[in-house]
Amino acid sequence: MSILKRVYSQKVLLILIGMVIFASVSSPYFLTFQNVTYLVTQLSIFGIMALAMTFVILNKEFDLSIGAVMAFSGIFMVKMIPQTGIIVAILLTLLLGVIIGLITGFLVAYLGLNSFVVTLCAMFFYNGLALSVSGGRPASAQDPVLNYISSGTFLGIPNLIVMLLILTLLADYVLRKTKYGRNVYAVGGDEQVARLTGISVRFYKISVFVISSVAAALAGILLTGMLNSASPFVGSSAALTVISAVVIGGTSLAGGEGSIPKTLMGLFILGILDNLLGLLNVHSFYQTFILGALLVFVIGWDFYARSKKQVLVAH
Amino acid sequence: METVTEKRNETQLKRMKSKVDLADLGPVLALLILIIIGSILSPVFLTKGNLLNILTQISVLGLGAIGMTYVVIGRFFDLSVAGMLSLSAVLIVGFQPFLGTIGAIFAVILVALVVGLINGSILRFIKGDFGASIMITFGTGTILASLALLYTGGFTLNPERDTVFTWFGNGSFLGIPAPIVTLIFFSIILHVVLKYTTFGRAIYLTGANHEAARLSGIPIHRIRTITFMIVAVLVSIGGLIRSSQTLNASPVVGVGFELDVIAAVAIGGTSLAGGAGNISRTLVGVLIIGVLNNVFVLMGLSNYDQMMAKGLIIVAALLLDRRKELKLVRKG
Repeated sequence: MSILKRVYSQKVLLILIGMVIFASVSSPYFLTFQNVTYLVTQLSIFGIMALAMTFVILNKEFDLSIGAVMAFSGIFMVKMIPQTGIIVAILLTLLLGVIIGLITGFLVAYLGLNSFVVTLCAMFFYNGLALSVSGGRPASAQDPVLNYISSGTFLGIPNLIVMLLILTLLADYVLRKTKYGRNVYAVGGDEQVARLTGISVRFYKISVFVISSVAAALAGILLTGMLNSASPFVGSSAALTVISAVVIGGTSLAGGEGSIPKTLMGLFILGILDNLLGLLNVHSFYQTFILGALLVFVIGWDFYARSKKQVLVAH
Repeated sequence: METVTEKRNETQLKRMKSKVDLADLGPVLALLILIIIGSILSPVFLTKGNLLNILTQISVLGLGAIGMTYVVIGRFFDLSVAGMLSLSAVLIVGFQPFLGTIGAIFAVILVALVVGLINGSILRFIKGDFGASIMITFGTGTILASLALLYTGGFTLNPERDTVFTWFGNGSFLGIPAPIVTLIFFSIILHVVLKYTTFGRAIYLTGANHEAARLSGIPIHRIRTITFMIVAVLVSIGGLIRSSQTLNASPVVGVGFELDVIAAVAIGGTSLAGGAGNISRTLVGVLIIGVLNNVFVLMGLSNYDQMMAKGLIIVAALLLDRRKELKLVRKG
């Protein structure tokens, strides 16, 4: 029984392993070095945002605006490069992320608006802004530094993977070993209790939105470097994919429960699914369908399991 | 927390008893100001043609918004309306050759009923709350949107332009364009049901306090499911009108629709906290959006600027709603 329970508690890992086995059986190309490197590189940009989204969801909030912020950040940076040079442009773009996060955080933490609806509005606002500033056309950016950051390698490993790895370790360390991380869990677990124990709930709510917006800005910078241009149309699926990754990994939407390794597993499940569907030539419309169905199932499961737990506690 | 809710309910009850509510006048005032701005900006604005044009353009949004009002009063949310609009628009045209136009309309209404039933049933099964309804319908909306794309392969469909089909978008009844007639027709029905039936009152009670509603024997899950079915059906009729207006059926016609619907409901003054609101408020919200869009065009704003402005305006409306709520709590 306890073995079964232990296996069950690792169900996400089991699904991931099952998928790797299935993928390598159904396509001989799957487990080649090139494909794996390609897969992880593709994942890294959404992965950086997923790490940040873990903080947001642990705090029992949402951020639907990350795709739009990513698109706008890319456009913003490309427009800044001729005026300020690449390094300052990157720093300014990250600062833009901070400001965007502060605005969202303020609306949620101080004015008490529902983060889902606010970030939905923010999504439209920054999408409109990106389209308006760019005139609805991609803006090209040919910069050697930018290109190296996104497409270069470090000791034979693509920079994007190195960056994802470093940020993963950093996020995991912050969440598990620091006071800040523990308080993020506390605020998400029970806001009232956290407030009564003297934690500044507002500070943590704002901080997680700053983290998520800065991650989106960073993603915009990296994507621009990868594609050598910034398009106002990228990122429309980012929020759906990233939230799915976090939730599929097993981080609870009820807040206060989850971890970075879980998010990483969710991310890889989605990535492998995407890669596999691509290798098997499945149309992208089906991929959206599968993603939506997976989301409904996982969220439904999360709420269902919780309602069961509540009944147990009540008795 | 509980006392806060109680106080809110008490003050809401007091407000319901008083005949004239100042809070209701805010949106009406905003609408009047917008109309004045519009008539200053352009001499065309106040012509009969332009006004009918505004009303025709908002009718699809209006249908979605009055349906959503039911869901929001019950303190739930339906983000799947965008996917539903796309899916119904393409399905009606897709079914036309097999079932005829009238058969296709009924078939799509049936599909809408099933979608609403599924949304409601999932939420019932997982014992979901407000937050769950947002997330789950976000997911089901994604599925519906992808089904619309799958059904047409991403292409736009051409409808058979028979009289029934073209009437809904381009016909008229007693000199009034058909989309407006349809919106008025359903608004009256929804208003009467909400105001004068036990079902309507049960929706209010469900939204004001789930627990109290449950304890007084109201089947809150069934009521929620029915409101989801109502909004889905109204949106599917909106899809029919939209396809008929444009004489084609695009699988992406619904993109962003949910935001417009939320905007109309919130701007009209129906509180997202549930338990309050009515159809006429939402219609004022819908009119505000329609006039606003028209004024944007008169001002020469691009689509992109309109997107930004809309995002800002909704946040502003939410803030006003929130302030009202806080005031109520303090007063009580």
